[in-house]
Amino acid sequence: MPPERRRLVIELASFLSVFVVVMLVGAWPSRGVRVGFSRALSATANLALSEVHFGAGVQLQLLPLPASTARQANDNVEADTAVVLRAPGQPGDRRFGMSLRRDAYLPLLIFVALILAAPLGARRKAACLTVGVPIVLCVAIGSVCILVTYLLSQSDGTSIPEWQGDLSSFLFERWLTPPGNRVIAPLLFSAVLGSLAHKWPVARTLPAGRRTPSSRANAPAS
Amino acid sequence: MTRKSRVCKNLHSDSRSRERLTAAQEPGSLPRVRLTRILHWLAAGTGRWRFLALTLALMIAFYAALYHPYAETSLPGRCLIAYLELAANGSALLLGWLGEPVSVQGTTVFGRFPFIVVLDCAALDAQALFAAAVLAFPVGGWPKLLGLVGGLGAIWLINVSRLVALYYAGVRSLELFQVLHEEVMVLLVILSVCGLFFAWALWARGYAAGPRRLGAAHAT
Repeated sequence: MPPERRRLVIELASFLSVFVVVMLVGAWPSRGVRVGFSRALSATANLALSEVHFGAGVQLQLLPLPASTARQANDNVEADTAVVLRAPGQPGDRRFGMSLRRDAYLPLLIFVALILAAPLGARRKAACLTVGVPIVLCVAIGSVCILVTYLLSQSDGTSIPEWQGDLSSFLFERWLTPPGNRVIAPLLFSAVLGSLAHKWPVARTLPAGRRTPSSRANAPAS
Repeated sequence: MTRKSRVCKNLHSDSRSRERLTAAQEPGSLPRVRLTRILHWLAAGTGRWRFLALTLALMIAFYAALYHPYAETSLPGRCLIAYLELAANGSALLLGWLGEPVSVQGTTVFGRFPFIVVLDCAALDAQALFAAAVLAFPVGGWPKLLGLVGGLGAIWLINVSRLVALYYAGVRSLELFQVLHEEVMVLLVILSVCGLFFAWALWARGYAAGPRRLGAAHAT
């Protein structure tokens, strides 16, 4: 096999093996990971959304469900988190279940697996993950907000402005409904971030006394 | 044109003609040249950004059209329902070949594990991704047309196979069905689409390079 082709095959095999291993280890159905992620993301989302109100002052809170919660017959998903909605002046609350594992954890894992498997240096991978992971989590929290706005816009007396209702309906149909988006979005995002990372300058620590080519070029002629 | 740029151009054209010559003279090395071209193109920078931006724009356009809440009586609504019925009939046909006692009514497949094919189960998102990537890829019209027809058909078959696999999973255990349906199959379908696209891109680049190679061979 020619050396260039051998190199390509090795790169492809290494990409696939890292991706598969990370996915298998990370996506293995584990109650502990599921509940832990739900707790962590719920706490972060509640902190971020504490001052956010929907329509006539409706407040959103994410409540991690215990690991023993059984799936009901009419549940669309195996819920690990309850979305709690409280309206001012109304007793009690309205709540429905959602799966943060499916909607946030797995997309995040796909993104992380793709970046770890990408043919980038360790520093660039670290930079991609530092930038990308918060963005993926913000998008996940934003998606919950879109869902809540859409559900409230379908109910009477929630005072959701018409434009918000239309926008949330558009996004609900195109962003939240297609199941493939949970894979396509991290795939495209990691492709964009990986492409950008090729151009990022990476600072290297050189041994004392050694000079980089650029420092040599910038040095005054002696 | 300065002397330096002329020299660069000559070097560039020399390397290109050398590549054509190698490709024309050594049949065994052809796949290497094609794969290398694809990877060089993907790493080229501007082409890659144009491709990503165009794919994203086309995806948004396709999603806007496909996932609009059409009335069932409207033309697009009827087309989408017909497509769902086609998927239900395809999966029932495949299940019938495998010896399962199934029947179809509209978009519902009746059998040991009855299921309804809804819009989310039709792999339209995967087809939108594939179509957008093929249309954004910089090759001529014919490879794109062939890629669209072959690729969308292949994705339909993959989806029908997915429905059949989910049927057997549902017969075995509801828990297994839920895990496969919500987590595993979505990933597998999109990864298959990526594989299909790369296979098509390799072929399309080779197809596009074909006439030029022939021309070079005639010229020499």
